[in-house]
Amino acid sequence: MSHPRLPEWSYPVLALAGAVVLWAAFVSLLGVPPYLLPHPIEVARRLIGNPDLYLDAAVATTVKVLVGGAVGTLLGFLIGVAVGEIPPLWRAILPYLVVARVLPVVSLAPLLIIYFGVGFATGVGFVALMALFPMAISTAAGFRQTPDAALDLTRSVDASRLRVLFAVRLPYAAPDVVAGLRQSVTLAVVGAVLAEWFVSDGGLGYLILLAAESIRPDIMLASLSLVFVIGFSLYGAVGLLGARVRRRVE
Amino acid sequence: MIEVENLTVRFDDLLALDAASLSVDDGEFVTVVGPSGCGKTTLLRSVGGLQEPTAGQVRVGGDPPETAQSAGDLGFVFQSHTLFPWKTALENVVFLRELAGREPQRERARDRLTAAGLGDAVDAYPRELSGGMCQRVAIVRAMHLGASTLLMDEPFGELDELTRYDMAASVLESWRDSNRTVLFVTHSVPEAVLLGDRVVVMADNPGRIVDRVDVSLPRPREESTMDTAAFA
Repeated sequence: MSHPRLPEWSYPVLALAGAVVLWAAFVSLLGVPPYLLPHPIEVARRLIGNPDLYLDAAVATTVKVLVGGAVGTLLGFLIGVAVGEIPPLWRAILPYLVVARVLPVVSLAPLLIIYFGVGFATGVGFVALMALFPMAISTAAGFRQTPDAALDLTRSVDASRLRVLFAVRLPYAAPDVVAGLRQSVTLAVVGAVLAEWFVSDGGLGYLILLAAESIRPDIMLASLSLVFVIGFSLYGAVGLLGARVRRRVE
Repeated sequence: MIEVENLTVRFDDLLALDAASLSVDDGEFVTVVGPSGCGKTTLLRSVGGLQEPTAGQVRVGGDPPETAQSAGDLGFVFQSHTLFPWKTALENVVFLRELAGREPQRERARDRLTAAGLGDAVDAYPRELSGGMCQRVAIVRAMHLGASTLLMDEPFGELDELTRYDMAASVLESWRDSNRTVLFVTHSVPEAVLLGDRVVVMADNPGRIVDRVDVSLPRPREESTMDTAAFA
């Protein structure tokens, strides 16, 4: 038995459409008051009615995500390479990298504010911190992917370590690096919104905070939908990259 | 020329190889046969400088194996083909020379692949090739390195019977034309006899050399040689 297959992207799109329809039906049929849960059309009207406000906020958040994400993933990648390439370092640091993941990075926010003040640098720093750990751990793990026989082959011709790093170990690690990147970009978006809560320098997170204070779930959901779009786009972009990388290494 | 003197390798309390001695002349094809766990792979890896001996000594061309490694004078073929999945057959063949710091010689590599019956596979990726073809590419890669010593660790171990004899024939052919020294490890007695000038027989517990047999069968040998009385 075979089902007619829809294109891969259509499944999440259909799921989203279904969720919005359920939401609309729920609100209309039960007469939920708008200060609890506004109708999706109300939310859309917010976005369309004041595009500049939301666009500026979205741009501010996106910039934080991209700059902080770039800094964090790059640092994470370099740490991952160092840890992966130098086994004693791996043994020394890895437990802490893993523990640092379960430690809420939010608890470091006050420290960042002390160091960088209340502004863009703190936001970017926080995003970078969120993005760093999964990238570092994943990259380091990727260094285990090179088969022993491949390393034997490189040893049998006394290939230089740098050469082996770039031409053999990194390509084998590439799928794990991309997996790390995928976790990092989503955490970067979370980080940007959180940073805007405690730095309050604008952006979608700040908008959500303001909306919550004035009990305006319509503004909140409008902002949230844009956060969702940013996260989904980045995740999708990394997903495409990942598909290409996997095709090459498998 | 490969010289092995009283080579002993110990892994923890396991004696993998007990005082093995062996000498392979230039241009000679020597096969090593024995059951799994008899230390034949350990012997080969020690000759290739991939395994540090616990005691004893290995010389390749009069020098320690590390010197031969640096000179790109050791061509390894492993049981798994160890081709890089993101490189085509040709790129794989060329890549080992590049790793060794040599000129890639792409055209030469292409010719070698074609001569090995891989003309159509030159630009194919490993995942597009059968196991036998991948192993052929790996053998061409070892040849293309230009090493005077070839070390082969059950290179046909993962292939089916028919492909094995096919491959054995082509290895013999390229060896005849190249005057290389070959040390070839296998667990198949017919394969060892078919290929070797000499067969080194090993046993396990502890891993050791128990016999050396000169093979007097005339060359060229082929699959039909195995039906002759002398083979028995």
